[in-house]
Amino acid sequence: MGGDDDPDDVLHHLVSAELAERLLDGTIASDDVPHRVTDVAELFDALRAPVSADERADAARAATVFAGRVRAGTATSPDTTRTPMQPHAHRLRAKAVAAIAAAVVLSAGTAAAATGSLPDAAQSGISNALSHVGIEIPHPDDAGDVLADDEQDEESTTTTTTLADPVDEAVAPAADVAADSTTTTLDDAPTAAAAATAVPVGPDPNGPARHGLCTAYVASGAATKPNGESVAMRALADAAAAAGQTVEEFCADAPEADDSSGTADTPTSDGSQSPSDTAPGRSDDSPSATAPGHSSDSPSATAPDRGRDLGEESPESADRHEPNSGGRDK
Amino acid sequence: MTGGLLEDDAYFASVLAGVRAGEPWAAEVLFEQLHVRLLRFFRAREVRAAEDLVGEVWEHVAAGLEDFEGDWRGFRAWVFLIARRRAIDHTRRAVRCRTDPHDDVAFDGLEAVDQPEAEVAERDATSRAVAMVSRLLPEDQAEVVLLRVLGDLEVAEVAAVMGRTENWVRVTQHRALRRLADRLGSRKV
Repeated sequence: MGGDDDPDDVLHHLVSAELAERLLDGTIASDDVPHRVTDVAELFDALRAPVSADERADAARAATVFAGRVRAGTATSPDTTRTPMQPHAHRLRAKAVAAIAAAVVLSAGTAAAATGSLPDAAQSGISNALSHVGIEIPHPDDAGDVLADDEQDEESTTTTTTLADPVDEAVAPAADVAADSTTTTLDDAPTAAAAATAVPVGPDPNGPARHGLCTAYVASGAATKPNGESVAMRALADAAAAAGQTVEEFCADAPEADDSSGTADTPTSDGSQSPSDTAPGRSDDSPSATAPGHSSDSPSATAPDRGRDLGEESPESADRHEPNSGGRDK
Repeated sequence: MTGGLLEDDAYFASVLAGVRAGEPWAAEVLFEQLHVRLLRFFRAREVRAAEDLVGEVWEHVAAGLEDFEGDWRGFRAWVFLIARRRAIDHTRRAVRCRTDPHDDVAFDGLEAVDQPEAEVAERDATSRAVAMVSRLLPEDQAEVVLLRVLGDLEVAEVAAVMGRTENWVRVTQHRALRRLADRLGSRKV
């Protein structure tokens, strides 16, 4: 509409330019305007209404604050004034960092690194990276030191890490666990992180974990390859030797897990579940169908179906969690 | 709006010097003239954020006080220039954060009677008038009217604040008047 560009054309339908100006600058009373624009005049009068007592008081308070800020020189430059979006963006950045950290922690490569089974270069890189977020994993440079410490410390033979001990995998099928022993879930991140700093406790081959250890021994192929680096398997071998038996003989005598023995849903005093609680309904030929126990401070932390993980767990990684193990500093 | 004594250049200069020195009395003089006007200006656009936006304006004013040169009219135009930019920034932020966008045209002229914040804002005639201007007019027209009536700015000053020509301001304000007359008249029928 070309006429819209012409003020006179618009005014033709309303009022003169002079009256329009007087309406807008408030120099004409609403009683004096043509009837058609009376409402407009009243509307503008309302906009110009005198400041109320409350508004005046609010303005005075704001003025006091303003003066104080000017006096104190705390007024920020317009260019540096933080907008409301910035805190939000800050939180997003923090979340992004957390998510990235979680992704790193949960990656298969990291889980492999936790067992110290990566090539030195990769192991070193991940170890250094995660050390910044408080998660300790083996570093190739200090493996020798830790091994030395391990040999001097008998307790180290009964410890294991719980880093690869996700709670949710307590009921994971054994085949899945065996195929992807490093798989974990997002919910596991806090557990893994907490476990990384906890004092690991190894399984007792003479206790309830015996069946599970034996199952892991078989499932992990321990009978056909060395497991000397596994705390759990070493404990099993030691127990068998102490009994004057081979591991196979020792395991042949192992009592099978009894489904009825499980008192599921009965937490231990520390909130974790007892070993027998977490081995419900698994068949003899798939013993790792459900991991028996996953408490970081119970023997069942070395779940049979996690045997491969445990088998690959190096003592040094376990020792690293010892407060005075002499492991690498962060 | 008239600035009263502030229209006197000497008096305004003394007030400005007092504000720069952080004198509460001087700040009160300015706030009495501008603070409520700014609140009304922002309430026409964003009821919920009005007070925060006014705070932002004063923060910018405080930061730029030392560099300001001019009289009361110039000061007033400067303050509303800041206010308009704050409003635009706020709108942009709101658009970025909006998850359920709507076509403004579809709601043109509709009363937001179901919005609690609108109800609160309309408790008095002034708030009702402010809300009505923003509701009945397109954004540009509402802005011109508010700057002219609330800011007490002249056509040239509004043009400068909005970065438009004086002719554009005149055309826009006349359209706004016509539209208001039509809409307000039809509301009485």
